[in-house]
Amino acid sequence: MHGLLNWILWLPIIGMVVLLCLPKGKDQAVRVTALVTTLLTFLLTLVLYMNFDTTIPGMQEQFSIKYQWIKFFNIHYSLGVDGISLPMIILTGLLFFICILSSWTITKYVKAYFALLLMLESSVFGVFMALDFFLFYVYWEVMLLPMFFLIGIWGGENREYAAIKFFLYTFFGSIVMLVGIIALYYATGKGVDSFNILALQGGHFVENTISVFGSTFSFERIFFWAMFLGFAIKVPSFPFHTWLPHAHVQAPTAVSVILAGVLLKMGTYGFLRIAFPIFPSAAVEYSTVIAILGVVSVLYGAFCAMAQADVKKLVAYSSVSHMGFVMLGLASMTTAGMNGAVLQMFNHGTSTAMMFLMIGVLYERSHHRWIVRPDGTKGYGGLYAHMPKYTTIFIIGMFASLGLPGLSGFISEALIFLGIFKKFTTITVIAVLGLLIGAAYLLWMFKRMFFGEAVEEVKSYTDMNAREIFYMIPLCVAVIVFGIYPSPLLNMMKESVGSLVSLLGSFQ
Amino acid sequence: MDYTVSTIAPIFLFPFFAFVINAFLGRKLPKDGNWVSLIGILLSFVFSLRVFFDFMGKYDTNFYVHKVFNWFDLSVGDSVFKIDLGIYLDNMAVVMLLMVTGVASLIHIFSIWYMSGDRRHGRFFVFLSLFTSAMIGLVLANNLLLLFIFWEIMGFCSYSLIGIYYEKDKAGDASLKAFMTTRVGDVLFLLGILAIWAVIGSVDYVDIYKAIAEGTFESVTVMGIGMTTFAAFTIFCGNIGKSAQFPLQVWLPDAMMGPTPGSALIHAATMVAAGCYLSLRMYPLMEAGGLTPFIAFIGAITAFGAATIALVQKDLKAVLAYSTISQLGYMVLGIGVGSYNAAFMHVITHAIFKACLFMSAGSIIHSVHEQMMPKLGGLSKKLPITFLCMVACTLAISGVPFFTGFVSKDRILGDAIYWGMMAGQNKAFAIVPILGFLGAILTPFYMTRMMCLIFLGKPRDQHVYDHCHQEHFSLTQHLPLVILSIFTLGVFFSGALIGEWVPVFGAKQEWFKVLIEAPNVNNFVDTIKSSFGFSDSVTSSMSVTKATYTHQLGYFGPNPDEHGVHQAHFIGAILSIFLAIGSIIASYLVYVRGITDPNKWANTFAPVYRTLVNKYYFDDFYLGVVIQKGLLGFNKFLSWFDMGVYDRIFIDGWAKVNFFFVRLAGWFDDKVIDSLVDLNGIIVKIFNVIFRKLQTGRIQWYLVVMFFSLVFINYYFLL
Amino acid sequence: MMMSLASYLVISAFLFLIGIAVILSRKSLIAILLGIELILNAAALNFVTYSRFGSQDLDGHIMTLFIIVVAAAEAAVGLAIVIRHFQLKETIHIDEVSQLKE
Repeated sequence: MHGLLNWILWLPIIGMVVLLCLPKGKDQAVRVTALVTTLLTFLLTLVLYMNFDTTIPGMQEQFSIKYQWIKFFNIHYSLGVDGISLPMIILTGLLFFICILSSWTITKYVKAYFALLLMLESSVFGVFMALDFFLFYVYWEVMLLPMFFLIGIWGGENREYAAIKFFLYTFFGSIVMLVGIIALYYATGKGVDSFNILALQGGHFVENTISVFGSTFSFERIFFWAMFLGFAIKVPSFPFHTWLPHAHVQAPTAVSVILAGVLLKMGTYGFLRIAFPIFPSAAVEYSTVIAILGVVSVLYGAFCAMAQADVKKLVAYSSVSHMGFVMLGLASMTTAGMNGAVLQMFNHGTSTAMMFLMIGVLYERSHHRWIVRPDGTKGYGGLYAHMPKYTTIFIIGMFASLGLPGLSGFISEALIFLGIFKKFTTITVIAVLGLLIGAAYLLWMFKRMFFGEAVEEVKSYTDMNAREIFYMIPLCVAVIVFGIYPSPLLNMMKESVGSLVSLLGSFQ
Repeated sequence: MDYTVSTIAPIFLFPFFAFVINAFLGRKLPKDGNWVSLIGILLSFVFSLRVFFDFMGKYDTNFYVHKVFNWFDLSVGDSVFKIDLGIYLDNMAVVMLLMVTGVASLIHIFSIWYMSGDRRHGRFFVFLSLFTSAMIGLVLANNLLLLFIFWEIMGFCSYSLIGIYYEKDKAGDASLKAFMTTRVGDVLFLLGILAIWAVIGSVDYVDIYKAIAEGTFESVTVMGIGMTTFAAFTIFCGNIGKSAQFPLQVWLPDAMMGPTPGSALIHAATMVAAGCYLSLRMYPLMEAGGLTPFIAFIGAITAFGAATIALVQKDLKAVLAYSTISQLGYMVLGIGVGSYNAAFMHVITHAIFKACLFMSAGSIIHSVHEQMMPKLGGLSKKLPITFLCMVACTLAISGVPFFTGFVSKDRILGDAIYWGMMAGQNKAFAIVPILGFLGAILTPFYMTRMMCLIFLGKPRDQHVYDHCHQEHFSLTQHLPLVILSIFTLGVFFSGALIGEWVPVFGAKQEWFKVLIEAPNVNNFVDTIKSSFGFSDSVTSSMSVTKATYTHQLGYFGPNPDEHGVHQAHFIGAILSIFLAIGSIIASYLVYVRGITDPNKWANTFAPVYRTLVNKYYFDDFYLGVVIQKGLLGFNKFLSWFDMGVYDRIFIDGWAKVNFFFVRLAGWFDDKVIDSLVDLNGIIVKIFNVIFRKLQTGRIQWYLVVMFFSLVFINYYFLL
Repeated sequence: MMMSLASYLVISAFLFLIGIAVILSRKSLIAILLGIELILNAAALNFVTYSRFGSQDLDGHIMTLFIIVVAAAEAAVGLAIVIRHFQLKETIHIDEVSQLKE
């Protein structure tokens, strides 16, 4: 089991190399190679889960791997896994497998497309496993590259704009983060553990100060915000969210799924792994600000979603809203809220992936995404009658997304609210409105697309085929099972989250 | 009897498994699996009967069963956080349970007849089973969170059943409206749950009662409001939404888009009453929060307002829908005035007669394919059984003696009189009983109007009349109607006629009145939760009473004036008997004998009539002003702001600022720096002209130059 | 018989000059390559000579071996270029190999 993390991390790259070596024109072989690679990777993540001891909170103890990489700067190739990253790793494994299946119909530059997806998978794993800050940063940046090309080449009409916007926005955030990394390197005296995330954790920088232009500031406060900015752009939290609608609308289906399902979680994962534990006292001090940003994201995203005529844009804004709940849970810094936030990260990953996949399925048939066309006519209508299987799965995804009890979204949202109410009562009272608006925009969208007489065009659509149903099933199962019985996920994360909560608690 | 998994859980699990089976296999089973649903609910009914008789046999007001099991546990080290679910059964819950499973069984039977041949037959039974199991779960729940879970699942079922004819745009609108309107209340209800959790770390009923008894909430404030008031208000908002109370009553009439048996079960008998069940459960909280006058006013306004709208409806299901809202108003009014027992009794009696009324309506609609009353008339000859059942229910809802409506509603009104006029409280409280009685005049009137228009007089549309077949007794169609109409007789609840003949309950007097009591919070101070498992033994939980909390009993004070209450009840009973009978006769005279033309009245009071037809313009206000102008306008603005202003000006604008600097730098580079470079180039060019001559392109020429240069250099430097 | 240092150097200088003369005078690329070989051999001879008469160690010999290897490689590359050029332009006349100027 020792090299398991290595295998998970490098298997997609191996698959990518194999796939690139395939001769020209063998598109089907390329697809199968990618599928097999992602399937094996997903199975390995499950093996990881089977062998994972949930009673151990730390990241060092299990499966960790550490090699020297750049000796002069004390940079290591250091991997590990704990209860916070494990759900994300499993989610990543699952979603990439599903995305390969959903991309079966891609015909443009097939080889490059799947190679980039596999490269993306590896870099995402890298982010969730890295224990070395430099390694983390490298993967964080490497991830941008395939995303840029995936949006920029396989995207919609306005893809270049969206791709560049996505790239620059996130790059800006990561540069600010890089400044923080370098500052930490100097603050620790360039020692052995200068880039060791675990060694940096625990609030060692409370006393440090930094002098900028002659005035002295608290080191923690300054660099907490540097890290915060880098991660908040990724989340994306209001007011750094505007790249998301563009990127989602232009990206191909699978990339939207990955973007919403996994990449957004990297932002909140960054809070949990880096910003909060390294700068705990600043995190505690500014939790109100985080909560306010969270609640504004919730409502702002929800209100904007309601006004959209493009269904994909609607779901994109709903992601802003749902990730706002995660921010709220993080700001609560309580057991319930933090666990709820991590659970919401997973649950949002599954439910929003369902929504984007379903929109992708529809788009393949209609080649447009208008709920209401710009000229005011209905884009769809009567899908319920013409695509019954599609509708059933859509309903499951939608109600999971709006937090119907019995489906996964509810438990995480309820936990977040239970955690936060005592600390930020007023904010909670406002945030709960998000649940109301959340139901409103989704159901209104559903009403306009699925009810009523079918428009002429809809009558020609075929219902979902076996491949499409096949890749939706795991998500449906996840959404329902974790809605009724969330313990497997919660048991996985509670020790790790608990140690973070107690760390933050000691700075309260 | 053991209250373990094997005795309690089946009540919930049978319909739930029926749902699961039908959801996956329904289409492959014969008859779309409707028999699976039926068997599920019948088994559930049998199990709840057992529990019911067990509880009643104990004849103990304070007996309850509380079992918990862990759902999930986030405890790490010292910090404990876990969520337990479980069951809580007391007399009220088992009566409710029996009502739910009983009514649901009958409606399942009726649905088999009503939905046969319907294109959504299978789907209907899937949701019916899910709904039933959720409703049972709600009644069994031991805490507010679990209740909320089932509460929302019921909302989803309601949404699905209203929108079951999805090719109709109107069905989509109605289902959306129903879900969203109730969700307004639900979200506030969730806030109440959160507030309670934040204070006591649990939302179990027993813990809430205990906290009230110990005064845990007293010094706590939430957003500047007293904790109990905040919690009571938000939880009551859940009731307002679910039970379609003013001002969220708008969804229920539209919910009649769904199939009639679904309306009977969900939007008349059980789900809407679940709101009142919640308020009754949390009655000590409502009381402690001082919310009861507010509740009473909401109930009175709803009871009266809905009754007035029912007067002018032409659609027979709409009349029933508004009468449902009105009756729910009475329940809420009853809760408000402290008439706990009668309010709950009204939940049960209303469920029975309203389910029967709706199924009768379904019977009519299915027979004549018409639900607009102006086209009906004289159907009593063709539909005699339905007619008789409906008469019984009309008498019940009107509050005629010997029928259930009289037993429950008049006690509510009697308590309202005492509470509003005789208890020496605020004079304005008198409005509540007055509105209540005005509603009680209107109820028999519109119900009799409906009956007259459908069954009596001459057929108004001969074609419709001829189209209707003569009905003969059929098991699935009429058995549920007959059984329910038998239970509209008051004797089953009041015991006034049979008294000691019901030894199973050990009753010496009215069993219902004795056994159902507002929970005495002081009983819950010393309780120990027992876990819910297969091997659990009997646990009753009678406990030592610690009198720390004065039970107020709805502002009657600690010791209500027994004589005054009695007097009030007497006045109320006499008054409502006369009002009901008078009203029925008046209605009969108007609509059958035609002593006066209702249309003339409508013309005389045209503005009033228009207001009523437009349902007090609530729909127009909500849809036109709040949603269209307010919410959507705001959303459009915000979306425009986000993409058009914020993104374009700030984000892209920032990019443009950068572009400006980039261009500036580019210009500087191009014109200034590059000119300097060019200057170099010019110098080079001059030499270039000279040296170019040397470049012949012939290698040997280069070599010659090189060789002789080397010779020269060697000679010059070395020698 | 022991030959003097000077005689080796003179032979080496002659070889070198012949090589230079060939390179400068002949118009065939192959001939020029031959000239280069002569120059390399002159250099190699010098190395061996100085090794023998100077430092008395094997450095010069090793260097000579290197030169032989390099010469072989150079000849291979050079001939390859020449052949390729002939295939393209059908000439190996040195004056016509002046594309760099144009």
